[in-house]
Amino acid sequence: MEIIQAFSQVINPSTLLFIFIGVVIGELVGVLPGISSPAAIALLLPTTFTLAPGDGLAMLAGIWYGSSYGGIITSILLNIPGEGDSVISTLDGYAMAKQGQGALALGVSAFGGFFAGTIALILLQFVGPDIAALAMRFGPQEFFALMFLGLALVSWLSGESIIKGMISCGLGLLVGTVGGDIVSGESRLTFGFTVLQDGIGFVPAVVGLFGLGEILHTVGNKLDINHQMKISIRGLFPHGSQWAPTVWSTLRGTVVGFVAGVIPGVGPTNATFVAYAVEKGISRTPEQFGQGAIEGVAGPGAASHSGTIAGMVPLLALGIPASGTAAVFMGGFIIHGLFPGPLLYLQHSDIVWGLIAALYVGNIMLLLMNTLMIPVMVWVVSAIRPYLAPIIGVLTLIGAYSLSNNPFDIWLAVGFGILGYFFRIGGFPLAPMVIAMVLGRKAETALRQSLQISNGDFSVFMHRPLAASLIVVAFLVLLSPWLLALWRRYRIARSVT
Amino acid sequence: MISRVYRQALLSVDGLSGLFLTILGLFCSYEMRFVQQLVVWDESGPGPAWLPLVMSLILTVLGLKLAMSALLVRDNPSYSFSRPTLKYTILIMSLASLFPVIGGLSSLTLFVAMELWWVEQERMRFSIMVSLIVAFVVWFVFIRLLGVAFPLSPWGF
Repeated sequence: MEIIQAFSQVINPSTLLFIFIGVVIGELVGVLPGISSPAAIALLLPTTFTLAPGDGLAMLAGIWYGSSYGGIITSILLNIPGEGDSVISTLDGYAMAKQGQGALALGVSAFGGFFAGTIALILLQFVGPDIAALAMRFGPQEFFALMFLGLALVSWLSGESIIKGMISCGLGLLVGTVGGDIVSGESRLTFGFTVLQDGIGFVPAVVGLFGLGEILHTVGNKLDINHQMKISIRGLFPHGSQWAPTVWSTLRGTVVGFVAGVIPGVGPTNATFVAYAVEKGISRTPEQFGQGAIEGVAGPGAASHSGTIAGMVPLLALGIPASGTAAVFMGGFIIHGLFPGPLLYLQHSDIVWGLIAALYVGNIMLLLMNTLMIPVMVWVVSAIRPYLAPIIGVLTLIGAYSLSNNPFDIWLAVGFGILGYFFRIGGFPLAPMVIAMVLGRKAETALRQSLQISNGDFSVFMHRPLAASLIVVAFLVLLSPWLLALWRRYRIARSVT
Repeated sequence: MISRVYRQALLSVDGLSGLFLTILGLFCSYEMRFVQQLVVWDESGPGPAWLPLVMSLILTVLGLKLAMSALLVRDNPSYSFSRPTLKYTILIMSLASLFPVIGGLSSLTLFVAMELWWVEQERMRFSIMVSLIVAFVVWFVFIRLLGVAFPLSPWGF
């Protein structure tokens, strides 16, 4: 019932315009290598401050999932993945394009993506309120345990090394503690700077880390794009025997993507790799994979889109962002004084349902764009690409400055930009840091509330079964590299004796 | 010979990151405990210094672990800046310094022109033309439509 009301709110010229702007920017971000969706969301966060919360969030959401559509276009046509979740599409998508089946690969990913996105939205619509209702029964112990597990999973799964993931998470938590203490108000880690009393601004930090850090990493890389390609509408559809494998791969990819997208740290990028492995594993002709197998495009394409939408489930229902992009998107709520979580469903249900309705509308817009405007998108990539570095610089600076009109925030963004650059070349994942910055204060509040209840006794977490199990799992995750090393040593020692 | 090998390892990506994190962790712990002298723990549980102190100590340990593992690995890649990255960093820092001094719009225009000419090696006339177009778009979207209050230049714009 709420969703029907939400559609009546969303279908008005101004909201439709903002959704359209969001999906167009998302699509452009997806096709442009060198700028990721969290960077684009971060850069455009401050512009939504003056909009109505529903319009602003609809635009940011459009960027988020629009980028996952756009990234596939350049993967298939140019062998250049615009986003992490479109890397796998280069294998069979580009092979299909070289065989003159580029239009079919694009069509399969566009229609499959639309289907997967719609199914994921239906699941979000029905599962989200139940999870939020369950979370209403949580005490501070459960919330702390949930956030602790989320941070542990993100540290574990975001990068190649868990040590680097933990360092990134630890830095995020440390940055989150800068400013006045939540209980006593005493200054922490301000080093005598009064401007830090209110803490480090989330927007300057994320525009620096994602926008500036990324451009510092890619500036000077010239991209030679050949956009002389012909795409016909008829060529977008499979024919004859291609239908069955396409449909089944899309269904499997949708399920894999949704499950992976809900788990913090796994996200759509990993989902695409899992979906590809599943398709290759069950195929009767695995040798065709990498040579232009249609299942190698359909499965990962569907997983990417359903995984992106699935990331909204823990964000909206629990207030826990499952990825770096979700953490930056959460900033869109925060600057409007809204906090995702179970209470959002109760206090601002219009915002939640409006966002879901906007996602449905955006999904339709993206299907039209991805079937009718592909040549335009490819032309735009080649036209904008040379000016990307100065444009990002300008947007970073304006983004950092415009929320509080404070020139100090510009220096913060520059500092975080340089840190983001070092993170990239050092192989440190950014997602744990941003998620820790968002969750740090909430986790600290929940921890201190829990310990105040028990006069500082940590066993308070063990008295609640859900909190206890979540904390045990989190510790197992964090200690997994050492436990696995011990296990390997034990097995070697046993085999020797 | 041995000291050169160790020096190279410590100057690698992991070595330098590890050393930086160790120093950062120790510095933050010192700041919390001895400069600001905040309460770590009292009868009701953790005090304001508890989480920052724990995080600083964890970062110190992880930083040391990273630096130590860098010593054990041969051929660890080292940090290297490309010329465009270095130029861009200089430009963005100059922009941050000039922003409140010569005004928001003037500094942004100058940044775009310099970036295109110096970093992207475009022609001077072309760079100036693009920077003026960007300045107009910034003025229209951010100042006119969104009402962002940029600092003004001494010349009043």
